[in-house]
Amino acid sequence: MDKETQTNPSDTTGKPIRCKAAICKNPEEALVIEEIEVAPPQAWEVRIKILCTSLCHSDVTFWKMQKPFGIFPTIFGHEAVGVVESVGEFVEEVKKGDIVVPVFLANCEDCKDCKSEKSNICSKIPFSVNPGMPRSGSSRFRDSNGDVINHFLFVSSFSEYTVVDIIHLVKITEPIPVDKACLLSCGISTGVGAATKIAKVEKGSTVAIFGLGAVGLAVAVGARMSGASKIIGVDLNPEKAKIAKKFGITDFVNPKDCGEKPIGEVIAEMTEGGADYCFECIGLANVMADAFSSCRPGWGKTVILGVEVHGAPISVNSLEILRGKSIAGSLFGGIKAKSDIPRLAKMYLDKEIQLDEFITHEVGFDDINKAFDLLLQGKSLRCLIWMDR
Amino acid sequence: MKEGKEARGLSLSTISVQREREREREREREREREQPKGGRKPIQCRAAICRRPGEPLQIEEVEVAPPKAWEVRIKIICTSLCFSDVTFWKMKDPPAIFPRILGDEAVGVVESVGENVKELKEGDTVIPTLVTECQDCRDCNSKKSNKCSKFPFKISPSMPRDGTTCFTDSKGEVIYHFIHVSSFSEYTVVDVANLTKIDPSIPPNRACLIGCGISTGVGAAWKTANVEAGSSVAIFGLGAIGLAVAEGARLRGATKIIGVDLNPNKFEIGKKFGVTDFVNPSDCGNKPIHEVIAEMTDGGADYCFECVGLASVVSQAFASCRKGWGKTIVVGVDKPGSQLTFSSYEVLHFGKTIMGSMFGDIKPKTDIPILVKSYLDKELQLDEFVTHEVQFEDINKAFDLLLAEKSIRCVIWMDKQIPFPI
Repeated sequence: MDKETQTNPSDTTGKPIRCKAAICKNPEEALVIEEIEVAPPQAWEVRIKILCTSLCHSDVTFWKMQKPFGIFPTIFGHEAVGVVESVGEFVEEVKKGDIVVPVFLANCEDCKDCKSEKSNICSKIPFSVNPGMPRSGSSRFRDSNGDVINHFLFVSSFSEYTVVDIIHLVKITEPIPVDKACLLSCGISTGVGAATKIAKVEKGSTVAIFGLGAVGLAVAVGARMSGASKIIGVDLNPEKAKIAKKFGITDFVNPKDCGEKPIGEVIAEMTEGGADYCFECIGLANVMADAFSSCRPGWGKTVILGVEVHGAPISVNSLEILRGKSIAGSLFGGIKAKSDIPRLAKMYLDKEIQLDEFITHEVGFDDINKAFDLLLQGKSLRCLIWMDR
Repeated sequence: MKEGKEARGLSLSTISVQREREREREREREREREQPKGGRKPIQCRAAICRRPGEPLQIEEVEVAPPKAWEVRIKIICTSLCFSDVTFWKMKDPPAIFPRILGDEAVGVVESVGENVKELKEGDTVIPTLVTECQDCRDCNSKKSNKCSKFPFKISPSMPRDGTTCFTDSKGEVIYHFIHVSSFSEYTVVDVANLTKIDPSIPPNRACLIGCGISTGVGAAWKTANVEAGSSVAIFGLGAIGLAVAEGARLRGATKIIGVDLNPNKFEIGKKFGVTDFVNPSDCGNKPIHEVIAEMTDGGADYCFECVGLASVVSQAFASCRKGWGKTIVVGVDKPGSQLTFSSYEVLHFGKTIMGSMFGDIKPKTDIPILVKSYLDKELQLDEFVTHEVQFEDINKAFDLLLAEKSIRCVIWMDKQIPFPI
């Protein structure tokens, strides 16, 4: 693939860069493309030129969030791929010109959690929804008036240039097309990781996936690769039935078509008593309860991937827990970015997992709001936003 | 018994087992003299019947039917009081039912077997269990589950296969069973799928403990949680179950075993079972328990066990387990219909897991012999669990002691002679 050509590479190092960014000034408002200034990277930081980015539902969740929980103005976007423009002090892992994928979940590779197989929650820089850089808390973005613009999830990829901490960056050396690398930055990795690392789906298992967005379909891809014999997709949108087959879904259930029958019973009938693994990929407490009721007593495992933002708790019958059902949750599907993303890139190149079918739309940066429309209307899986078009 | 073994000297309890079995054989020969050959007759014996909720058990004469196909009639040597007995003794509404013979933790000797019973014969030492293992269904054949799907667990008032009962009182009225065991009786009838044959050399007042409480606790640590060496563990509720979890965690090499209990006396007792640190929530002031535990464990315990049976304590246990890999294991049983509530934010963002442990995920026929052997090899310690021993006539004392939190396990000897340890 082509590297971005820089007419005067030495010009920008150490200096602020003026570029375009898509800013969200108020909740649920269309993003506005404006000129901003991006400060040079400080210690441990890397300034990146974004090549392409994609819209993930978590962006939409925080785009909609009313103040005071929602923070504005913000540059959203956390699923992307870029090229290193310059690095700050102490950064040795990447250099100018390297292709990198930023990730919202840190991977210092040094703390107890990073070193353990059992956890992907880096304790050095724990996950948080923070408006600034992880180590300093300050912002590298200023608008044309010199006012601060907030970061999002330590990435902020809806900008021609952004600054990301090295702890949130993955160097890509595999010859994977950049747009496919972009997809590995969040949603697809989450789904594949959840199936293979958290649930550890084994050959012959039965799986039920609640919510057939990109994450749910990525779970299907992971489950199929692991040899699951039955992969049931549950979604209220009948259109999903058509595309779901491409990703490995063997049976489709629309809860609206089940009448009075609870979804747990429907799934139990299809799976001799309940699915071995159930995944909740939406972020609604009542769906989490449905997923839990659909898994098999004895050994059924429910994996929570959806982000529940209303604060509603998961409520399950205690007897069901004693009957052998378990609940596990995971941010980013158990993925440790720096080791697992390159692995997933290789799996794509070896044709073990598919990524192409997730890209349903592509737009130029100026049309970024179309990506929001498409996702909100349930028409897209992943809409790529190319910065240079 | 071989001469050689006798010459080496046996503990008094083992000698009592031998004597017991001799006495049983003599009684058997008497019965055979009275009965025509070729058919088993009902047995008249004593049983402790619970006739009304919360009232002392009454020792009465009952008739115990002969075993039908797949059934085994056993003579109970000793039994112990488990909190599940107390729960259903107190309960007024279904699944409580009266009159009932309680008792789910016991050891006995096979008196006679019904048709189709191939794995057991007269004279075998057996432990009955509330959990069934048919060894034939998908769950029994899977390592991942101990929840037999052929005979799913329920608080059953009768025999598992045909729903009949085997006990009648002196007026000929039916007395109900208790979760397929009913050990508060000199004789009981149990389905072969609820029986495990064991090595008879384990003293009966240790063997009976394995019938429920010990298996549940040790199993929760070994099988459900799979505690590994170096782990930190927090146990909410230091009754027999919680202490058995501690014992199981200790044997696995857990380095920190925190016991949480409102009763300060539990710490001294807990130490005997491997508890390294004690937390009494009443002494924590305004500090939430999970913060206390987080400070003691580098952010949270690797494994938290709830051994009380309260949804609110499950929430505390969940909050106390470590981010990243913390597992919460629910062992205690809250009242039917109770809901467990978790923050989905914590489940997702902290990578925590919640699982339940029924009978410690123990598969009786496979795992109970392993526990027996572990005791005989002096690894698994059971002696400290037995804090009191009474005769059958004094069975109600066992209830008093447990309710007053004065006992861990009170063993009830069915025969007149309680052997005293040296």
